[in-house]
Amino acid sequence: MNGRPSYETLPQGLFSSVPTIRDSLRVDSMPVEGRTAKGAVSANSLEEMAELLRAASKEKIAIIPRGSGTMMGLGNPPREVDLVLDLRRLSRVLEYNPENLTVTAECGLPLAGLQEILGRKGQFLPLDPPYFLSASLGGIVAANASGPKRLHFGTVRDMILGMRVALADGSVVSFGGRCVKNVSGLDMCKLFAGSLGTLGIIGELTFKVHPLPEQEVIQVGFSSDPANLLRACHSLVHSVLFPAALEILHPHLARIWCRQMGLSYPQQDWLILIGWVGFAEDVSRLAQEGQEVFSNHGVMGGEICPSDRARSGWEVFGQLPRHLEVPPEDLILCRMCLPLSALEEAIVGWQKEAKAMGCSSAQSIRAGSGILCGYLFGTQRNEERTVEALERLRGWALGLGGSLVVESAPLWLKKRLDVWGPVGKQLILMRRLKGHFDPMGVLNPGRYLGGI
Amino acid sequence: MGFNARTLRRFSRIVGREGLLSTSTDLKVYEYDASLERGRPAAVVFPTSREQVVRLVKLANKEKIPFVARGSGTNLSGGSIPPAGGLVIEFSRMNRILEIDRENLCATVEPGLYNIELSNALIPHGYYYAPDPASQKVSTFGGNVGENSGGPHCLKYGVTTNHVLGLEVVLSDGELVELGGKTSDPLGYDLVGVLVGSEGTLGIITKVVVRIMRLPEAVKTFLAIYDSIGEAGESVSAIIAQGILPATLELMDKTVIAAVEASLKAGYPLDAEAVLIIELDGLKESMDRLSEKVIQTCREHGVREVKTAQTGDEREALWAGRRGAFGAIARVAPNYLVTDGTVPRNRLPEVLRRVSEIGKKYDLLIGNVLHAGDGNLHPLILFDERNQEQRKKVVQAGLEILEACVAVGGTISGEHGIGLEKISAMPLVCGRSELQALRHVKESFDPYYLSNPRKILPPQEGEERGERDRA
Repeated sequence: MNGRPSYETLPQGLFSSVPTIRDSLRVDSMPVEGRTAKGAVSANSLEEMAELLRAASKEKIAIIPRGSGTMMGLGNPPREVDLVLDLRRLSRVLEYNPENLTVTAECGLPLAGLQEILGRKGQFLPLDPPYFLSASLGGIVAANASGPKRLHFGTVRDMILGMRVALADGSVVSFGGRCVKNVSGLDMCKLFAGSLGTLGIIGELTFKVHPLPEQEVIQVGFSSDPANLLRACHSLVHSVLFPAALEILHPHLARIWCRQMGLSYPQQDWLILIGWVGFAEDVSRLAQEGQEVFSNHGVMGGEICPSDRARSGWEVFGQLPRHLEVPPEDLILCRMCLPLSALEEAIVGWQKEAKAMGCSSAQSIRAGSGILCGYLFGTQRNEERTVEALERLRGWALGLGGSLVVESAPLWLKKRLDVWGPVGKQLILMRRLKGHFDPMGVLNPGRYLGGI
Repeated sequence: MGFNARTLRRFSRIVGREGLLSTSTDLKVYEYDASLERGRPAAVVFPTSREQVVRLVKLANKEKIPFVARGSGTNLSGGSIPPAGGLVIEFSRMNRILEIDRENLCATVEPGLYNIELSNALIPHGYYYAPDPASQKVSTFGGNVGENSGGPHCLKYGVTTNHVLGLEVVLSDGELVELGGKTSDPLGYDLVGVLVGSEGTLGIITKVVVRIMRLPEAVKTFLAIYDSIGEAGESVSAIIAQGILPATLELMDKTVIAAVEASLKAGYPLDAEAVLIIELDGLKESMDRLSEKVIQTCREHGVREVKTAQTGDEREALWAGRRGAFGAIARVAPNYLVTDGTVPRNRLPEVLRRVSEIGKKYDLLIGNVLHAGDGNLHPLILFDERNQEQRKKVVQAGLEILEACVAVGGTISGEHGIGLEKISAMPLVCGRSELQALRHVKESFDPYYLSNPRKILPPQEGEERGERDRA
């Protein structure tokens, strides 16, 4: 190094129309998939951001948007990492209309900050993705991140009413609005939610919010056989009780959760967490019925974690990977989406393959949504076998119409295995969309599926 | 302008002679939908399988013939009006339930199936399909998906897009793609989400996978009777502000009540200014307390009386009146234009006042049916289409109502779509950059603008306007 900061190598034209962004230019200390960007800048407004994207398209400079950084491990390693666009300064609540149950806020606002404001009016945004205390709104939406209570409240696609987005051609576009129903043109919000910043950068979001439930509890059960827990879930999913969340935890994760919550359960047992929300008299009946379902399916326990305890229970749950105390270079986290009817086989399959890989593993299963989150530790010794096993699991999931996404992994794995997997013929459509919205390929290039 | 004999022969080779209509008498039946627009196709085909749809679209693509998919033609914005000289692909012969997969809480249907038929098949097992447009007895899944249809129960359960898990689509080049399916979070861009509500402009749907739900344990239906429409509107916001999300909050005004009672005898009082149909559903434990809270809230906002449906038949009568409201209006005037603005729900009372002013200004009778909980208005502007003068005023009044909605932060369509009818209102909600972004999507799916052309997107500069203005 000659002592010149690397950001000085960025073309000057990049900032000629946005001097305020240039003022924030700095060295970036958070590497993206092992590579350090030439620099980082902070956006102060959506318009400024759009100007930057226009210049970046002209200068062919790859832009990596970043909010709180909780999702930076998602996706394939970007083809280019030139400039990190830090969105944390865009953190205002722009309009909150409690009567209409809508709120508009900027993308960099952490979800927890928004919840605090909504909470004062007895409302909330029912999102609980991993690390929901720090995750930013824009990041959650861009990654389509979700959590246990999606079973009851849906995912970001069900909550977004409108958004404003900066596009690569320098324009700022506004879609949807502040109404709960809107079919005025194509539903563009759906396109940008989950697009991981590859089509444009979401600057503002309008959400439909909900009244805080009168009561919320977690009901805890355990069993040495996960099949019992799955059968209990099956029975609840097909009842009129509408549980808000159904999570099954492998003994390894169960131990962590119980330790954090100060509960003691048999160390080798699997755990089930049922989330119940609703009006007070409903929730007491729900807990009673939950208890009955447990005893009908050989599930022990039934203890209730009420209100504040329930809240911290989900907080701990959202942070589980962090509590594993496994160094990130030794942790692989995969997410399999499957038909509900395939979950039992998935648990068995995952354990079998983990054995074949010669490593330790754990799972948590979102039993009402058909999602299995699989953790692997200590795979470094056996790269070859790990790749093969994950490919086998992915092949099996694909055969059932599902998927296996590697949500975070050390670089060696990402170099050998596409984190998303194949997507079929619609990739042509996705590539065309990318070509129209980002013709120079400067937005998060290569992180999305199919090289997008 | 019809197709030449060779083209017709090619189409009939795909669907058989019994699957093709091309005489002018036959075609006349397909030139309208439930909007005021008209447009005559060159031929109508009735495929019986997706393979036939693929071959039809491939042929249309080769000859650059524009096409539109059609279900029951209940569209309220001209979305199913055929492109002039184009092909109508009619789906009444693809109307099967392909699979009910209770285990995975979903069902797979063909696009020609009537909305209500799925719930009819599910209810005996304790399940149902939630979106319930008022037209559900005749409107099809293909049309519901195309328009992202709503319905009374969407207040609590969301609109069509919240219930569609997967689609099979024939793109305008004849490629068949499967999007989404029975599992959560399909990979990549949410193309299912983009397709739902795209009004047939991105391709032809040949299969729909939808979420099915358990029927709620308890249901309670109320008729709240008001002497002022403003107070009815205020009650709506007040109920929701209590933290109660009813399954439905439907509002009808005096004009509509009179029409409904004259034809259906739903039990609405003729001397009321407005009624609300409020339905609560959920577990039986909280039902009494919530009912009490709702009734109390209505009282605080000037309700004259709240009646509770005591039996299933009484409930059904209340709903039959609401579902039959548009049809009943035919007793009052030969034609109506239904507008579909949506506003933040707390702005409803002022927008309703504005609607009434607009009616007075143009000397037009306007009836109001609202999905009030969603802030979704359906002012029905009554007229006689033989009266040319009146017809012009109707269009102008409709546009002014939409402007009034946009002015309070609302939008120009909540559930009926843009189609042809509202293209001129699109600039109210979409600027140049937004339209350009919509075109990016349109061109990614349908580069030659063959799939239901001239809908949603205003014609570009230089494009011929003649076709669109034929009405």
